[in-house]
Order: sequence, then structure tokens, then C-alpha cells
Amino acid sequence: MNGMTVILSKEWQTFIGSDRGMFLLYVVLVCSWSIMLANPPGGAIQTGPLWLVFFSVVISANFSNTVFISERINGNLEILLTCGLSRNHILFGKMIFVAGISILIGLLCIGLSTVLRIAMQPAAGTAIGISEVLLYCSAVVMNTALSAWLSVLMSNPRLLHLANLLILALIVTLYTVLTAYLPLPPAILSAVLTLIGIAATGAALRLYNSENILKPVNL
Amino acid sequence: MTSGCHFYAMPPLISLNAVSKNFGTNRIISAVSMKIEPGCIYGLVGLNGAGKTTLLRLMLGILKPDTGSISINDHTPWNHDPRFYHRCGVVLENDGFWGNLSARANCSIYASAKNVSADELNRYLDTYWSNTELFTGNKKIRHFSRGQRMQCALCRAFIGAPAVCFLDEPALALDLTAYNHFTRLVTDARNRGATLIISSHQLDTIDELCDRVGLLRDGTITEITRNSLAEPWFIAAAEIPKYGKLIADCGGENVHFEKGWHFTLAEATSRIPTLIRDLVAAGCDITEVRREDTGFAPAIRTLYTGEKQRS
Repeated sequence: MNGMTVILSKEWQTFIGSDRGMFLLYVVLVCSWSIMLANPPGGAIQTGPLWLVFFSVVISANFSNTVFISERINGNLEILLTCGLSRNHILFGKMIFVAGISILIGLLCIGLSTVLRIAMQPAAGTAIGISEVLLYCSAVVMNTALSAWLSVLMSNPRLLHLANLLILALIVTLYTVLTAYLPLPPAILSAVLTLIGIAATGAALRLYNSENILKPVNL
Repeated sequence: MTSGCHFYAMPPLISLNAVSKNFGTNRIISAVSMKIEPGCIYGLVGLNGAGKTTLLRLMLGILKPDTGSISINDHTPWNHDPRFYHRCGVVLENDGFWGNLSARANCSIYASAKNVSADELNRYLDTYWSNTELFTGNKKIRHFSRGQRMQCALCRAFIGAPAVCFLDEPALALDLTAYNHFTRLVTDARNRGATLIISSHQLDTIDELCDRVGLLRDGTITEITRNSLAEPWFIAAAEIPKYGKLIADCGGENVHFEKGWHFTLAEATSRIPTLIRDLVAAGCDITEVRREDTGFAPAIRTLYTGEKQRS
């Protein structure tokens, strides 16, 4: 357990040590996203629960970039592997950080959008329900796990966000097409995303315990 | 500084048995066997691409040997036992620092991972690093120079008094003061019984610090010990061919004249007095006898030259 605490603490320290520009980006992202989500039905921007899935890619990709990709390219990972931390703790510590902070930012946006929506149109009620929150969380879990796996699997890990987006687009398109014929609640989509996340975690675990973890990177 | 490795009777701390490693069809390490005793400083040399970093990574458990076995401190590195790493210190090809943290914060994270308490870390920093400003203040490590980063990497490697240190090019970019500090760290580590493997192209560093040297070429290790080296000697005397023949008859090799007689001689301690007696008996007027450049560097350079000629 200590190993994961070390990783979480390390990730948090490196995050808060980031440049101010990074935080400014998050503020802009949270504000614009909240305004979009607060948009009432029939408003200028049409949003729905599937937007949440794509927002999750933006947030988790940003964190995956530093936590998974940069660490591998800069050689930080090699140091982590030789300092006495279990490889599983390293992986899970990183995943928990990325997923945790992405969910936190998502919840902040959802909360802010609810406040904005009530302020703008009290009769409209909240736009986001529990099932939408779960959908967002499951999408974050899947993106994080895929990032952990693909960052090692792909010889050019910078392309992993594209791969993440394509996988997600495929799943969502399939879901949208199927809902035209079958009554599929968002919970089904959440379950599928979570299952894919679990499978990707297993695959990442195997790679982290192999020598592929430090195979050369082609950028 | 070096006194020769005097731990040969002790059981080896590091033991490699017929270790091989291929990358695809390229054989990088070919049936390498070596034993390194506690308290020994082992130099690893070889041309670029000879496989030094690969060998270090095998010993660190980052790579898995295709064949053969590795035992370090009674651990098999590939098993990735955290207890093995807690007793290791490393300087790797990439320093792996988190650039937006200070040097102290980087070291604190590393110390936590190695179960080294904050008090112990502070004591270590006060003992060895209080004369630098690298670990005070909040300057982010990405603003450090290459030499400063190397000093930080050395500092990190010796946290927790490791039993085994793997140092890949540890003296790179160090200024004279930092280099002297590095030699102090290495000497202190050796004095407390630590084993160090230093991979370097800087032969002066290898010469100054190492007890034994392994030259990696064609995937195999050729080991050089100080005792096995033929020492280079110089005798100031006239250029008369019979003196050269006498030196050669006494076991001298590479005999040539250049403002005096230059040659290499194995077992020089016992042979030099005999040689001088023979030369004097032959009427030679000797004005100076001295041992020339000693250490590993000449032998390594000779082996390097052979390597270059072959390739």
C-alpha cells in the first residue's frame, strides 16, 4: 500500500508544480464545459449524456500525457522501477491518480453546470443525473486504463489519445445505432466501458511486469 | 586511492552465470559470467554499443536474461523484489528527475520509495551535500545544468547507504569539485562494504576508482585486474641494441627506444632488479629507472585499439 501512496503523492506534487498556464487551461476548460452542460433544452448548443464520454477523453488524456507518456519518454519510469516500488503499485498508483483527478474535475464541471442551470432557468431542473455521472466515471476508467496499456504497447505513445478516441467513438457509435432499435439505457454503455477498462488494466499489468515496459520509443 | 580488491576470499555479492541477451537477431550479451565480491569497485568499459547499459539493466532486473542466471545480494533481479531495490543505488542513462520539482523533493520521493525516513535523508544530505546549494531552495530541477543534475543523480543514488550501486557514466559533466565529491562518495561507500559497478568511457575515472575492470566486447567480458597487468617501464640508457635484447630476454615486451628504453614487464617487482643487474654487468650506464603510466587505462586503450583494428 505504501508504494501506491508514494506514487499518488509524487503525482500530486508534480501536478501542483506544473506551470500556471496549465492551471489556466483547466479553469478555461471547466468554465466552458460547465456552460455547455448548463445549456437548457432547445438552447443554442445541444448537449447530451454522450458529450460527457468525449469530455472524459479530453480530461484524462491531459493527465495521461504526463503520468504515462512523458514519464516513459523522459526515463522517470526507469527510476521508479529501480527504487523499490512494486510494479503493480506503480501502475495502480498512476491509474488511481489519473482517474481520480479526472473524475474530480468532471464532478466540478457537473456541479458548476447545475448551479448555472438553476440560476439561468430554475424551472429546467438539473441536466445531469446519476446515470450520466456514472457514464462519465466509467468513460474515465476506460480511458485511463487504455492510456496505461497503450502507452507501453504503442511504439509511438503520443498517438495513444487518437487510439483512445477511435475506440471510444466506435463504442459510442455502436451504442447509438443499437439504441435506435433497442431500448438500451446509459447504464449498459457504462458497464461496457467499465468492462473494457478492466480488460485494459489486466493487459497493462502484464506489460508493466514485462521488459516491454522500457522498450524503445519512436517519436 | 585504489589498493586492489582484497575481498577475493569472500563469497560473491554479484554473480552472473552464462548470461545472454538478444534483441531480435542481435546478440548483445553472450554467455557472460562474472563474480564481484562485497566491497569491490568494478569498472565496466567498452566501446559504444558494446552492451554496457544492457548488462546493467539485466543486473537491475529491468531486462530479463534469455539464458543464464543472475544473483545479486541473494536476489534474482528479474523477480522485482522491492527489498532488492531498497539496497540498490542507481545512476542511469536518463536521470529521470521530475523537472518541475526541486532536487530535494525529487530525493524525498525516492527516499520514501526506498523506505528511508525523512530524518535519515536529512542526515545524509547534511553529511554529504551541505556544501552545495542544490538541495536548498525551491529551484526546479529543470533549471539545473547538466553537471548539477548529475550531482543530484549521484546524491539520489547513495540515499539509504545502498549495498550495491550501479552507476552508468556517473562522472559525466562533473566539474573538478563535483568530481572530487563523487570520489569521496564512492570511497566512503566502499569503506562501508558496498559494491559498486561503474560503467564509464572516462578511463581516468575507472583507473582512479576501480579494483577490477571488465571490458565488454562482442558480447563477452574480458576481465582485467591490476595484478594481471604488465607494467610499463622506462630505463634511461644508451641506444645500444644489446641492451634492448637484454630487456627482451628478461621478459620485457614492446621494447623500443625513445630517449631511453620503454617496455612493459609482467611480475616487474621480481624482474626489475635482475634486469638492472644484467644491464650493469653488460656495461650499461643507467641514469634513471622508473615505472611509467600505470593502472587500467593503458591496458584498456590497447584492447580498444585491437577492437578498432578488428572492426
